Amino acid sequence: MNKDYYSPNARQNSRRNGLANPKEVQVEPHVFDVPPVPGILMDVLATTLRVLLPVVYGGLTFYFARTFFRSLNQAKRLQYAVSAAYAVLGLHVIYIGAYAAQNHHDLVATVYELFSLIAFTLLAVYVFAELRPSRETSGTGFFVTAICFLLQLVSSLTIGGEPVPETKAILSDPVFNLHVTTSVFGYAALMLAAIYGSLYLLLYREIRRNQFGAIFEHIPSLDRLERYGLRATAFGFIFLTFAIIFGGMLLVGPYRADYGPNTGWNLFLDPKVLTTLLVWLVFGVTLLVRKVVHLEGRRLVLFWMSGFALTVISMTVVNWVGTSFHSFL
Amino acid sequence: MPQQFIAISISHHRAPVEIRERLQLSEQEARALLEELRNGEMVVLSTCNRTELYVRPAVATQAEGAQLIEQLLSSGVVRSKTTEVDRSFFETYSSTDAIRHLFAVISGIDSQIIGDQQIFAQVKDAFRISAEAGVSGGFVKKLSQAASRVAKRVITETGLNEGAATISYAAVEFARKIYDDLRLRHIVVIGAGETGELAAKHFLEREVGHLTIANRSLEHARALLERIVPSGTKGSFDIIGLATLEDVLPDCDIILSATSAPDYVLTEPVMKAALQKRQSSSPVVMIDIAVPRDIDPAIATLPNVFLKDIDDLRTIIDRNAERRRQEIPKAEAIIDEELSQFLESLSRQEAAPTIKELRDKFEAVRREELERHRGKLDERTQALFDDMSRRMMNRLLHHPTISLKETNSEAADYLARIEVTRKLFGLDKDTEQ
Repeated sequence: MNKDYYSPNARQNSRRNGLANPKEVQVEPHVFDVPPVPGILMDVLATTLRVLLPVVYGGLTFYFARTFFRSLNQAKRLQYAVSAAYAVLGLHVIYIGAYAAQNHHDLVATVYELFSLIAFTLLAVYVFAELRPSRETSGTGFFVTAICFLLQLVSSLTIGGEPVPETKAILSDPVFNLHVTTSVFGYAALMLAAIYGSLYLLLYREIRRNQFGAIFEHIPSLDRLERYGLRATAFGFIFLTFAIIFGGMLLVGPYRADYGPNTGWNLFLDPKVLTTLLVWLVFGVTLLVRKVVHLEGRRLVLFWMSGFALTVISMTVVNWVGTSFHSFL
Repeated sequence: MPQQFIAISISHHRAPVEIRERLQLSEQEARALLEELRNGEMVVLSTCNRTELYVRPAVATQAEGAQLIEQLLSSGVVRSKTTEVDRSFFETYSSTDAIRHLFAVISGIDSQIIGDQQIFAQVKDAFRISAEAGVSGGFVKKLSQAASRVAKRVITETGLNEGAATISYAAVEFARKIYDDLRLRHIVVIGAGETGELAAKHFLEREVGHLTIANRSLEHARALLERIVPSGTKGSFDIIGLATLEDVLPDCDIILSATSAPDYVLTEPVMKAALQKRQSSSPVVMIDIAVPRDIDPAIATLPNVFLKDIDDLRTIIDRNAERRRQEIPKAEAIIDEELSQFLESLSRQEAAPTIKELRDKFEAVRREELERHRGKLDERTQALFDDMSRRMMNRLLHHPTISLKETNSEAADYLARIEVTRKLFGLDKDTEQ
């Protein structure tokens, strides 16, 4: 199921998006040019997994929820949950590969594709932030997998429904894909840090108010939430660092013309770039004050939560109000 | 082979603490009692809440509950501790009820604090002492294994042991809700009394980084530390007087106070000053389990401080107790299941000898009667009588044999059935003779 990058439709999309004529863009033969038989296999695999993934994410969410709300044998149950999370991640990796082979681009071309990528990255970061290396887990996976489930469900239901911007050769550029993937990983890690931060503040408030109910009973200790939140923040910071580096590489790469008239270093004044840099800075400072000033506990959590709030607000404002060269879709 | 199994128990259900403490036996006393009473297979269980004697006597006729109570109270070991105990404080159980009672005890549903896990170790110790005293046979060994199985299943399959059930334990669990890794924390326990000791022990069970005992008397603090910290324990341990408490406060992460001081040991200005000197911005956990209170309640308003007193902790305990009570039916279901399995396996092992003895006895009577009339009958008639009496015996014994072999769940009280059979046909009298 090979797509023609130079179709009339592609040309039309290209003009609409203010890009150079696709014929002028020299595209090297790339890894997505697969022979027909494996192509059919990939089609079947991608379609099957598209249906299967929401189901397994739903199952994982249900299992984490059961474990979380029933304290009995939690440790043992969590071990199964951890193994299940690894299995789901494995399936999602296969889906990403099969989808790329089927559609000749990674899960970065449309919003709904990105939903699936975010679901994957969120679970992956959770697994790495919390479950490794000791597989000691707080059992808060329910809060993460519930989001993953919703994202994947929406993605699976809607994917393919909107036209894929096949004209954009940049979508098959490895650096571009790395840029998007590391960005998504970075933001997913920060989202995870926000989940831990919210749980921390919730539990903190319950303890102060002497409310020893379900939240007190089921949410892990403040200490542990802070630890995992910091780990997620560190992951987020690292991934965003790479995202920024890859973004910089794109500016001097062969697709710089795709960014429209704003070329050169003034691209750093783009609202999205600025926001990303700001968020990256906030989380970097969070890690720095933790290390240097020994900021701990609620104050530290409030610090990184303010970073997340800043991300959400600025992203919303930028997407609704501002204009950006970041409009590849 | 006698089938009876008897248990007598004096526990918190009927006896007040002043009676229970008089009958509480140390390990040496339990051994001495077993030695003195020595009658078949025996187990003595003695804790602060109960003293129980389980007996499977060598001679069944001696196995009456009331008789056993008298034997216990007249033993030298008990007489040396107390002279007169009202018999109404005792409860007696026999046969299946005795086994069920043991299972209930080891599972923790019969404990004063429902789900108490200590009782598991105490029952195991009782079986160990019985084995070491040489009064444990095949039945008690089998019973010990079944009881352990019950306890383990109750722990893993129910929530009966979940959550703190005592103030000192709840205090430690509360602290762990803020700091779960105590190895990185500095803990100060103020007061070297019984409550302080219990709390310090619970902290040590979780491994602590730095534990300080603060007390008015340094000797008492030192003695406590020596008692509760075995040599080679990881962590750092020290003692301080109350006068120097202010110096360590800025470094403390968890402070637990349990003194009998009439006034506040920690006041709001002192704590405020300590927080100002504190380098870390991590929260300070303060737990006051003293009555009257040791820690000024105004401290609770200070930022980054969690202060809880005994009433706050009681809320947690009450909630846990209620949840534990709701788990009792699950534990009882496990007990019923294990009891049924135990009886089934026991019946396979124990019904066979009774059936054999019963048939042997019938055969002996038949032969005796045939022998008595041998001279009066010709050979053909003798053969006819022999055949007829054998058939008659087999037909008469058919139903009792089937009934004794029956191991399905309806035959729950099979021990009693074997016992009745033995009594009805005087099998134990034959054994004695």
